[in-house]
Amino acid sequence: MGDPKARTSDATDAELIASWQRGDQRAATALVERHAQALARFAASLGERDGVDELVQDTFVRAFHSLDAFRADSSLRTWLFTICKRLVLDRKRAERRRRDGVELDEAHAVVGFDALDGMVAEETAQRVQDAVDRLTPLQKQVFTLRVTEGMPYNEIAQVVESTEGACRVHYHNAMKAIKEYLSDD
Amino acid sequence: MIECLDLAKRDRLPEYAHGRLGAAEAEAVRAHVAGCAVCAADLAALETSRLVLSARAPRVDVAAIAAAVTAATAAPTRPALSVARGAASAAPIAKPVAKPAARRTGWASRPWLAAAASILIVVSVSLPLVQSAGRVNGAPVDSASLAPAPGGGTDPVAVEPAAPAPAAAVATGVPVGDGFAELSTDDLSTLLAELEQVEATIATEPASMRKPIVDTPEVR
Repeated sequence: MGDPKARTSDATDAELIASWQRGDQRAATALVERHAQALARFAASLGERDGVDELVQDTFVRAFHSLDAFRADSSLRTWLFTICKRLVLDRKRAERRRRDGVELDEAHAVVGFDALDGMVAEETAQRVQDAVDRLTPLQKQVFTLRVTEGMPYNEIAQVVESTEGACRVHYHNAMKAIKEYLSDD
Repeated sequence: MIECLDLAKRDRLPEYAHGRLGAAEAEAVRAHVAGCAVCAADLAALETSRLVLSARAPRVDVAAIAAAVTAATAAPTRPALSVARGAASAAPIAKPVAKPAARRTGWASRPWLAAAASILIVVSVSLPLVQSAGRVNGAPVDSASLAPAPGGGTDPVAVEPAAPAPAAAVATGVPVGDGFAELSTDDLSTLLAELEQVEATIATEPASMRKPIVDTPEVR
């Protein structure tokens, strides 16, 4: 039977985790559906474009395998983002080794996107993307988590392994840089 | 340059944009933004950036990822073979495990190989036995002595080899040396009992496992 609430979208992450640990795989599916796209956005902010599906999948598999180590003092999403970031760093290190010491440009411009859905003009979208791409890697991570996920500073600090105050500064500096870039003609 | 002095409200703009504020706080932020050019610009940049970053983020196949994740985290916890074969994919799992979807290896994953190995054992053991049929230590064998020893008679410890034990010995405890001619009557009795058990095991295998590996074309 399982917990009926676990099958509803209003179940909390903690309730879904508990349901999954009791054997309800639909709870795992619900967790993936809830957080997968946010992880993809975060992965993009880290410069990942290829193999994002695999990255998101690996993040969930690793998280579910070590759920016993998950402490409820942070949100599941924060924990997932932390795992995702570590996987990305592992990938970058592996890629760097493959390239025999050639450093990656972590803030490289992202190209080859699909067409937008018409909600934002392409020119404006490109300018915003350019502005975000000009941020430092840490600014970009903080800004993305704050803007696209609405994540509070204390959780962002856990993900990027910094302090809450530093994240607040990074966010406001990023916002200022973006506004300046967008206002330049 | 004009700056906003109400940093508390400015800090809450992302939560406001995501609709995560209570009604009272949301109204306070809305009123502040209406009178603050800095926060109005921040909010506009924030919402535009959110829209662009979300629209340009890679789209992942959530259903496929969910299926792969549940398969990778559930399969190894299935306790019994019957469950693994017959249960639906949504069968409950007991506990997260340390390895994803470990594949079954060895005999369990290749029952035909186990059957083939059993046949090979029977052939390799019985061939020299047939060749030396009727002779033990160069003398004719009394068929009555081949009957199981009293009390089962297959205890390897109880078997006393007629000659010093060779280096190689199989799990039956019966020494394997240059030939069966060196075996004692008790050794042969033990060996025959073991063979009967092997043959009985093969006879109980499902018919599908006894199918030839290579299908021969039908003769018309």
